[in-house]
Amino acid sequence: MPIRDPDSLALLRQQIARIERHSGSQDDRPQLSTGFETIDAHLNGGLRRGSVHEVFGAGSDRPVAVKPSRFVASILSGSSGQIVWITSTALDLHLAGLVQSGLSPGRLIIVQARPDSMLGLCEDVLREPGVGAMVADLDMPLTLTASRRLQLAAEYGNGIGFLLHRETGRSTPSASACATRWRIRGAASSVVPFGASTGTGTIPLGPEHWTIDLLRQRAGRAASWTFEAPCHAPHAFALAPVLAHRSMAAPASHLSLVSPGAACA
Amino acid sequence: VLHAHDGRRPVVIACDPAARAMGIRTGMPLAQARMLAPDLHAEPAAVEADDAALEHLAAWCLWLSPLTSARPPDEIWIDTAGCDHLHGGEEAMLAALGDRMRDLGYRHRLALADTAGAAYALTRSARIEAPVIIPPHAQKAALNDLPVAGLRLSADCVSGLNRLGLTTIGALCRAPRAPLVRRFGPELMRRLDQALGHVAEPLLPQTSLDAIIARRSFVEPIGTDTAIAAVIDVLVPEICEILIQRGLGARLLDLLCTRVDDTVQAVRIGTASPVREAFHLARLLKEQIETIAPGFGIEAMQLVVARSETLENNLQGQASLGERTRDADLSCLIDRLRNSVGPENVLRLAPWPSDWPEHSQTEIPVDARFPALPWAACGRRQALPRPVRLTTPPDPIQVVALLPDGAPRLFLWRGHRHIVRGADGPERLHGEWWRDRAVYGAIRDYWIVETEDDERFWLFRRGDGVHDWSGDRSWFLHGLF
Repeated sequence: MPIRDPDSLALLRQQIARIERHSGSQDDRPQLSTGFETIDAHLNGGLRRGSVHEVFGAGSDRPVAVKPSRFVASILSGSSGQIVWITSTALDLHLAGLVQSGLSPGRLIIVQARPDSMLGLCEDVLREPGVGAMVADLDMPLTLTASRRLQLAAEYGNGIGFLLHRETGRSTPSASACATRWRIRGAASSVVPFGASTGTGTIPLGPEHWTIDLLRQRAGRAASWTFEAPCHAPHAFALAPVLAHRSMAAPASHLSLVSPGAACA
Repeated sequence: VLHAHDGRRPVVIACDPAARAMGIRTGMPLAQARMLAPDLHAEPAAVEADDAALEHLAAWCLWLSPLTSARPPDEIWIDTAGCDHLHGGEEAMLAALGDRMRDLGYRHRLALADTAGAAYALTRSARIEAPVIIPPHAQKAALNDLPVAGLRLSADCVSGLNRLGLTTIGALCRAPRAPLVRRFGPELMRRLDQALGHVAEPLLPQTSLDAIIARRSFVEPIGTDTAIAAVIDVLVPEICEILIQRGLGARLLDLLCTRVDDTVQAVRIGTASPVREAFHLARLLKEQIETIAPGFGIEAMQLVVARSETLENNLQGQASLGERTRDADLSCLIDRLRNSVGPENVLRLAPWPSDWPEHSQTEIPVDARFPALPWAACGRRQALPRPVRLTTPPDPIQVVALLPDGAPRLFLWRGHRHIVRGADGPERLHGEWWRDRAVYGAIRDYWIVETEDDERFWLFRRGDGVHDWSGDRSWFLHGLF
């Protein structure tokens, strides 16, 4: 029987488009810049909403996931909306560090969940359209089924999720259905401009460097870059605000403070 | 006397002092009573009318406390937590209640205890019209010498216990539990624990007349999740309509499911702000369905607004705007999170004016305002690098340094040796003696170190490395960068 009604035809087309969307090739969902132009170019514009991304640390950072947290925080500093950060262990997030990575305290909602209800909560949050992003500290390995569920939830609610892997044990992570998988490592910092060693024999630190590995990407190539770590700190020098207020005479606090970079013996 | 039929024969269920003087007791067959007093005036008991009068009396007791509950045949429970000071203390409150009851023509016994079970046992043993008050946490001592009949047990159970020689509650407490449970069933120990306060016993509150209630009774008992969800979908809009009419929003909702075995399963949900969107409330309730144990089936469900607050009506008009719905979505999510993980586990971090990293933040409820801070005081310190995560408590490490007050060259952490390539510091933090006397003069020197493995750590040394009063020169790892 031929379909005469144009409305039902349009409805069918919509349905087909919706089914095809899950394959995710011709996607027009908004993108989130990673803050690095080269990486954005490699990702065709940035991380897409409606997907879940895994981030791993390396070395001593593997069970702590500090660099992944900073990476995600600096990505989210360019977005808007509330960020729900789900953790199942004792809360170890440090606000001052998060602020320096670009997150304002008013955007952060922290949920402390039991380990067994963790993934259900993540899924629930990803389904919620009003949430800016979901970040989860994973202390247990993620199964393929669980990652598939999270990815589907993100597609349903058009949310973006970051899984910070903190589990110890296996060095090679298992297969997952997440859109991308990253590993953030430290890299040797560049030579300090002064180059001189101080009296203690150690050299002062230059800017921090990261090696960012895109381990896998759905429908895309893996890659690796080394960058200077993103820094959202309001000002690296303590002197400037003092000068701006013209109060050189008395510092705001009586505590003695040595500015960074001035390593003293 | 009043008599009723117990299934086999008419028995006396209540008698007045004159009959009591003739030797007539409750529970005695009516024929035996008539033998003792041939001119006995016996009336059939009107149980329904009695229950209705008791309900009425429980509603009357609402002047005392918002939580009163009629327990047929002859008890009224009143939860007076937080109400006694309104009536001038617990003794004055009970005295006032007793006076008013006497004015109404009721004979009564009053007891006040931490648990309803303990109060019950006391009323069964108290003298008429002399109130008994047990101080908090003293119910075990108070119940020690009371007979086991005060525990709301079946008559068989009481006589069985008496046969075993366990006549007082104190003796029952000291007896081994397991054999008793095997012999009398779990009911015995449950009642005992309820009386002693080891097991919580909910009160079914008498609702005031203007309470917002929606109720459905079912022809067939229901038991499946979908059926319960369907009923919730019917009850919630009813509630919301009343809330809109009265300009209120719900803060606390109770869903009471009456099962066929006449027990009640209660679900309580709270919201962070007053809510009257049917979708929001229905979703919160449906999340809790799995906590309801339907047993053999639920025959009635009742939705009660336990606490409500005024909500401006004009918000309803703005709900069509995009931003507003976005906020509403989020508040719904926050409410769901709070109900599933507990309100104290959904939080925000707020900065706190302290130099010591572990004290520089505080946890606040998700809907609270951020505390106002003297930003000028802590603004300068914001510029110094801080790790995103702290090791709490700081990990003790072993450090090799060339000079006692110098930068570390080598340290051992979790069994790994880290050779330091470069170091930055020290950033010196002083103990906040104005908060804690113990840290007067204490010094922490923080170093950022980069190791040969290209990792950066945040280490600190207690003390300045020279003076013993400033610290013991032990090293700690406080975070990674």
